[in-house]
Amino acid sequence: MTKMTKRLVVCAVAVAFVWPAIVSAHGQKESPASASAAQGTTTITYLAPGLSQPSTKREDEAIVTAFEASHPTIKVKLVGVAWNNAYTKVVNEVEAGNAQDVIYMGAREVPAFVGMRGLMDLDQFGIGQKMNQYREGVRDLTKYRGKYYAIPYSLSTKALIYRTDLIKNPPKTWNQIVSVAQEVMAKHPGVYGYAMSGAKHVSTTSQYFNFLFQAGGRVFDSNGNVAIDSPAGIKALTFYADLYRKYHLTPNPIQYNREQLPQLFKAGKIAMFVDGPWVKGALGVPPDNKQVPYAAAALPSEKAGVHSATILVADAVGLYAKTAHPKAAWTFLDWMTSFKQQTTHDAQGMVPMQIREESLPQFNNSAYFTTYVGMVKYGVPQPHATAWEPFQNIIVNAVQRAITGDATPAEALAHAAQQIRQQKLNPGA
Amino acid sequence: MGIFLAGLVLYPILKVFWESTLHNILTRPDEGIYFVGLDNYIKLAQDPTFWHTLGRTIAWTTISVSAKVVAGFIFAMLLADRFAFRRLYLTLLMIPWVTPIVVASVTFRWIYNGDYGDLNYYLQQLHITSSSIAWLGHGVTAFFAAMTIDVWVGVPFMAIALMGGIQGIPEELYEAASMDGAGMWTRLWRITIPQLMPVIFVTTTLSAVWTFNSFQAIWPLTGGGPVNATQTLVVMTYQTAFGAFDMGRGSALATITFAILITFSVIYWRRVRPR
Repeated sequence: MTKMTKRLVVCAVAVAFVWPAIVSAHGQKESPASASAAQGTTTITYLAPGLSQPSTKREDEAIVTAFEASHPTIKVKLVGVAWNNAYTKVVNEVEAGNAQDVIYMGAREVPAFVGMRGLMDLDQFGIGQKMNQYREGVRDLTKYRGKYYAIPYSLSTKALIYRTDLIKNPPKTWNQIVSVAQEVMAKHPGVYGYAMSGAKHVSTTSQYFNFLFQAGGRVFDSNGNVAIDSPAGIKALTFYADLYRKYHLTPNPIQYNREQLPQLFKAGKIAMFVDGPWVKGALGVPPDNKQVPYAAAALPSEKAGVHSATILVADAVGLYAKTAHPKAAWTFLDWMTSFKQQTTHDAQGMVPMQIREESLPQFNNSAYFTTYVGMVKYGVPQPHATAWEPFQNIIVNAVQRAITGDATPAEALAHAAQQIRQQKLNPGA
Repeated sequence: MGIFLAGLVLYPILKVFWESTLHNILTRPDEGIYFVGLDNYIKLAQDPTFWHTLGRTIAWTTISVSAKVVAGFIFAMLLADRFAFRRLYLTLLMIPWVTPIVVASVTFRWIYNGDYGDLNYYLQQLHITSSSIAWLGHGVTAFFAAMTIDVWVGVPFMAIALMGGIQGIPEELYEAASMDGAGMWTRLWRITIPQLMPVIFVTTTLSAVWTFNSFQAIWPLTGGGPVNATQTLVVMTYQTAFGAFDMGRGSALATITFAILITFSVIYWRRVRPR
């Protein structure tokens, strides 16, 4: 027997001895669940992305504590994951048949998880009446092929952030974006009038879609067919690219995603950009600060006399289709999206989710926040691509082609539409 | 040893190859999982994006490895001799090697910024350029900007490995050559480089494999853009397998990458190995 073979034999014997101990320990780890079942309590798991962030952890733990206090027979175990790994984790867990009972996700991921048969159809819990508390655009965020698979939980609209010391009247139309930005640049050399996202990032899709919706276009029509290459889509992309290529109002957008724009704004390099209500936190200064005083304005409309539009983006909470505890999981989901709990959650800086919340004083005590609340009624839900990542890649490539001049907006969108159809990413596929 | 090799190397390779013969999109279980033979490979062969990406990857690897060898050799020659503060310079040289590439990429993203980046600032101060360049905003410049990071990270390994090789060359060879009247260039071409060939062979092979598979220098910097200007095979594989969750096509891309690298290694080894 060679030395190597002897070592292998020793390892095999060691594993043979240790393995039962590991299995036994694993079994013991599971035993509390059995014990809790014996005591008449049910333990459910809740996938909460971003749990490593102190503020998220604090809020999620408070939710669980309050829920368990009012529902003594149900225990909730928080399962953390980094935001950028959450989608992959859910896909893998659904594929393996062991996803968490309650899943927090981006609403744009709902179609993919439904496609994987990973989310429970919530209609069985009589969700219709509950969803009447939401505006239609918000409801549609988690409604896929006629059924609700999740409940929207964290909502954002978009508004125009502008420097109040440089701009007296914020633009109300696309033409005014150009004229106001040009005026700022003429008076304040070194400051760009406007900034936008063009990097390979989800925010590039959102920022382009704002213009698309304002022009009356949609990514998919009501039958789920691709409609992005419509005249409205081309008009919107032409204007988006022209802000950089023709008017030279923005720094090269391909270098930036939305998260980087507040840094430019705070450094005094740009006068206007579009972002969600959380941007106040990202800027780290109140609107009336002395260095870069700012305000939020409604997104400009395509032309005068037409109302504006904003993309509605939300995180949502759904139930794993094969959860062993559907009733307990639904009880938790129903409780955390109740009017009282939803209001508490939204008061952390989110746009009010339910219609009744919109008139509450906490959402109307500042002009800054009221602007975002006022945009909800003009909201258009993020499109329901059957899988978001490849869809995002196609859209960003189209935007980048138009910005770099590799293709005309019409060519870029025609190519994108063709790719979406080929890859069956439209909900009607 | 055979069991370990079979379990840790052969099994994953065969598993990936088997996956590449399946239609399996994790997010589309309604389409089912079924055997498609070589269909994933045929579809890739018919996809112009794949061929553009393959060509870009070969260019990326060739240029980057060449730059690393040249820069590494220069540093190795400079640091092979004993001189004051040599250890300090060696330590400084190692900094890129020990810096997490993701951190480097994020830092470089700001250095490359067309409007406020340090690179443009210094180029304009030195009157090399008159206006700002959006390095990551255009295909060609983004490609070389990403490559610069890859080279920056890879040079220390090359320099240290080559320096070890240079220090291993017997001093008597140089003394004898000098007595025969050989100048600096002659000694370099006739002694140093031929003596270094075994080291150069090993380091370039390793570097080529690492560079071909370089992901962290590209993904945080450009995400493969603008458009697809910095998309290499490994980025495309990642996007296909873990973005679109098309495990069949993603596995086909991984298998092709493996086949290219193993073919390269064998041919290179046969042609360049010291006889």
